[in-house]
Amino acid sequence: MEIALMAEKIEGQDESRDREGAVVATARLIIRAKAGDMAAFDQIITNHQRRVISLAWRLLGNREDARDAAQETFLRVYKSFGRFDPAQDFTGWLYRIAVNVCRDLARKRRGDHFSLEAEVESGAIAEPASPHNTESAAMLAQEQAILMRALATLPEKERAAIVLRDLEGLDTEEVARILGSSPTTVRSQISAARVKIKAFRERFLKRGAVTRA
Amino acid sequence: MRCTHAEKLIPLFAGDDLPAREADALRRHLKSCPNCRRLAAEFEESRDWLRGFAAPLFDEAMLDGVRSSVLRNIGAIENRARWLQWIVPGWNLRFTASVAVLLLTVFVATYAYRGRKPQTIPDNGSVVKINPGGGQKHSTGDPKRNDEVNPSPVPAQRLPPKRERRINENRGVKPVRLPDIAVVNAPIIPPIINIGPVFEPLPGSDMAMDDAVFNREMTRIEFQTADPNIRIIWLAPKDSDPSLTKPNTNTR
Repeated sequence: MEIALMAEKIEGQDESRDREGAVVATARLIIRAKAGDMAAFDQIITNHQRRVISLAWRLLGNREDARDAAQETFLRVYKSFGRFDPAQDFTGWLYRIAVNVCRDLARKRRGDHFSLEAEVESGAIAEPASPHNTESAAMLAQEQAILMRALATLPEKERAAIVLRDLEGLDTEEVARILGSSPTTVRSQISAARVKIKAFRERFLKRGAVTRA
Repeated sequence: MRCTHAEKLIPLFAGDDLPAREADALRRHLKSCPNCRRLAAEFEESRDWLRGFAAPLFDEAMLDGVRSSVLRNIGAIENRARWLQWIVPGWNLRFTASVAVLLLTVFVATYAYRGRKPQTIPDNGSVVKINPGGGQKHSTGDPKRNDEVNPSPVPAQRLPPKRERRINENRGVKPVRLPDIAVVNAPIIPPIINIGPVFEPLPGSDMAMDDAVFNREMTRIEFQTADPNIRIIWLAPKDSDPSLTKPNTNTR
């Protein structure tokens, strides 16, 4: 028991050490990129683009908009590098820019972009791991589409709060910093979003759209 | 804690977003209330369902496309900045833009001010003097000669005081001071576009001879309008009834 606890503690320390190492490495890359080193900026893009595209896809709902949002996010990062202090949290700053870009893009392209068929065809929804278990794969695809639709029904501020908190795993204070709100406001938005998602899911469960094995 | 209050806290409790004190109070309530306990379980299940939303799979081709597009756009931005530095070396873009806006504002203000200022009518002559006694002087009508101006046979008119304008006499002609002269400000005749012949030549007549005969016997007064290209020539037979005279116009 004590060994397990010690192993967990060491693992936690390793994780925090890894995180610190990643932060230091990112800070070094940022300093070089600010000095004009394009290779360093390229490395920053490589390290963070998957996260940015995933966030954009969850906020906007389709691949094309997510790709455009990711490009615009990194361009704004480049233009704003002069104002960024390497000692600050780069990931939080990056998220803030990405959320603002997605908000601007969503306002430009109003309308419901969520379509199960379109997302399956484009490959955005996960393909089944096993070709034999097609029924569960179809259920998974259907659930993901329902989830995306549930997110689409939320107001943009609530959607951003719930995606950052529950899907990206950030804590409430961090979400509040990214969204430029107070933690109390963010909690209120998260609470409202969870109520709506629960209601949406129950409605589809009652209709039998999602059948669980 | 009441159930109405607990129901408001349960969505946050399911995601570990409640402060510690409120979370403990809710936990105590959940131990004793099965309805609220069931509601909390539903919210946790919904949150797990949301968290099970797998991140989409983005292939390397798409990621490479995003990266290369970003780097290409950055290259374009850098080139634009280099061109700008070449055009205005050492200058700040904001400073240059501010100066340009300032110059444009000054230009527009100057143009607006000059547009509001009334244009002055060029004053090339003196007041037409009319002899109330009806005395007239002959005029050859030649603008180059220093002829005396024959006063108009038209009776003097009373003009509105504000419209005091100077009427140009024949160019080169000096105003003559005659005894018993009353200076009258004649009204400005609006520019007349239509041009008609002064007189119709007699058939078979010599124009030059007729012209000389005509000028000997006609009183000719010229008015210069505000338009420098339009001049009004007032002709009247000598010693004729002033009420029968008609102005003729001619443009040069």
